[in-house]
Amino acid sequence: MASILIVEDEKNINNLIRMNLSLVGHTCMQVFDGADALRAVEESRYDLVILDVMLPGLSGFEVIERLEKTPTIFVTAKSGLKDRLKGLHLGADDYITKPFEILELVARVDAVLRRTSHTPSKVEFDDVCVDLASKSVTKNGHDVWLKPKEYELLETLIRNRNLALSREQLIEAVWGYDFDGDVRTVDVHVQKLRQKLGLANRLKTVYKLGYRLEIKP
Amino acid sequence: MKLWQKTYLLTLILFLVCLNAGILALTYYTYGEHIKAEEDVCRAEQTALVRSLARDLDTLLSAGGGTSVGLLMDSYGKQYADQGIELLFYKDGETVYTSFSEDVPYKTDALAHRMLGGKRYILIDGAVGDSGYRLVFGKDVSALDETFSRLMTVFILTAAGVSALLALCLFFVLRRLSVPLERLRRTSDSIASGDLSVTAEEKGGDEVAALAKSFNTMVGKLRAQMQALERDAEQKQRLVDNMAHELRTPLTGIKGYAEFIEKAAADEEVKLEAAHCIVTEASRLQSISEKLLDTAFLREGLIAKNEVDLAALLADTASRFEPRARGKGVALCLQTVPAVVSADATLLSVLFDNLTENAIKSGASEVVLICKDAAAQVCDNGKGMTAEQLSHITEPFYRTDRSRSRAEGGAGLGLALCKQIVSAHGARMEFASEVGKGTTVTVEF
Repeated sequence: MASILIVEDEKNINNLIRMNLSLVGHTCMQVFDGADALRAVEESRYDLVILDVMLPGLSGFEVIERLEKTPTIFVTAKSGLKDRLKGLHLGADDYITKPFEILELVARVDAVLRRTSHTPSKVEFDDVCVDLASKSVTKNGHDVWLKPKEYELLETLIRNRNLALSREQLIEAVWGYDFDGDVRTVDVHVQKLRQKLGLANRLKTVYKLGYRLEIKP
Repeated sequence: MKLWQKTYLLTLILFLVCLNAGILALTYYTYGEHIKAEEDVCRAEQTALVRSLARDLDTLLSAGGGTSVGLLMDSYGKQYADQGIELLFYKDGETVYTSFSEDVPYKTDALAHRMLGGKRYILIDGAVGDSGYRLVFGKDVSALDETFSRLMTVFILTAAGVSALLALCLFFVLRRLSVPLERLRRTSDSIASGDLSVTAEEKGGDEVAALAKSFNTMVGKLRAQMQALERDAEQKQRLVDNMAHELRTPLTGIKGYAEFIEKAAADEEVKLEAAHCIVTEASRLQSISEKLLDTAFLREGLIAKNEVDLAALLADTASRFEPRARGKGVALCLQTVPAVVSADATLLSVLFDNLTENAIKSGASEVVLICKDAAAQVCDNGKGMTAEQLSHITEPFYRTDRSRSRAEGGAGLGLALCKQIVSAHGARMEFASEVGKGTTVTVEF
């Protein structure tokens, strides 16, 4: 969906971010220090930069000052308010502290992309096409009518594709914090989605966890 | 009430009481003396009068002129009335003659003071010869009283004037004296409100100046202590920050990869890779916790000392690091003469390992391990450190180049551990470094 530059000197963390963002459909480029990051940004355009603060050579704070317009999310172990404010003041779009959760990372990346990226995104799998901009769904070229909550559930699953979401997480994302109905409501809506879009093989139940929409990148 | 006001009031009251009591006592004493003198005069006059009267009376009575006693007295009375002296002549309780305008009680040989017609009289009663007649001599002394009351007025006015003058002078003097105290109070107020930069004025040599001086000493000590505390807190904060960071990075990896395995729809191969990352990050956590434990253990001071040959230990270390040094293109040399010290061999080899590892990682082309005179040296010609960096290197988790060190598996605990090993042995560790030229670490036993 989007091309993302990951700047993080810890190889394991860099890989972790790359694996997760690739899972949900983003294209990732990995660099391990500030100088390489600046070079990469000069060479090609990225929709988003994920930037560690403590980098060898140039620090993240120095890198962001030269990034100009590319949207940036800081990822850092520094959780102090001062560092957070400094990061945001320098023009970062968001700030994630380690240790972070995968879903949090994906959600924040999504939020920043939605705010900054102007290219409407369409997701296609099998014969289903979902237009995230106009919120319309077609199957075999025919419009499929989904109830609002069904559509929101589908969008949440797409944005976190290949990741298992618990019923509670889905309820929070689709129905909101103040929903006081049964968690089984999710099951009913998932059934509907499977029926209407023929997703039996893709929208899988993950034992003990919840649901996962599998779309191989 | 303020101290100077209290002092002022007390001094004033004390002074006024003393002054007025003194004046009063003096006045009364003077008055008493005057009265006594006057009494003496009266006695003398009375004696003279009685003597003269007795003679005249004797002459008169022996001449048989008993009836002309009244005439005689009349002439005496007239003669003395001009001197302010009244006379009463009586016999057997019967008044023969009186020039007093009021009744006068008869007395016998006594001197008395009486107010007669608003005037003070000194009365002396006495016998006139052997004739059986008695005379009461009365002298008007009210002039004395008048003088005395005039004197009193003058005294009171003078006392009032002196008191007012004193009150005024005392007021200004005491207030002036209390000014330095008031200044000191203001200084202490501003210190109480957190401004430690102020100092009290130490002018003069009195107690207030001495107080200001010791006050300033106190503030100075306080300031120094505050700074020491701040430095200490800063160092602790840095330790906590560093520790949090060091723990967070492997934790992020472990948590992230575990979550990935749990949630992601990924191939077996990718999941294995994730599991591997969990293992490496966990061993990093383990190594940090072990080193922390080591430092904690050393803090307890539990070491077993034996005779140890420094040269042999350095040779051991050199042989352990030889392959790594060769791999990085570093020449590792040994210059030793045997030197036996009393130490814990295991801890010393940890110490030399850490120092050698740092030297190899410093970007040096040559590392020399030297041993002579109960001292060991590790020298490198790597990139060196600034004085600022040198002052921090033995702090736990401090690293001159965070990312590089971590990439090579360092936790930033090596030198903190070395410092504790050295201090547990009662030895001394010194760093000499120059940017671009290299670093020399000396451990002296």
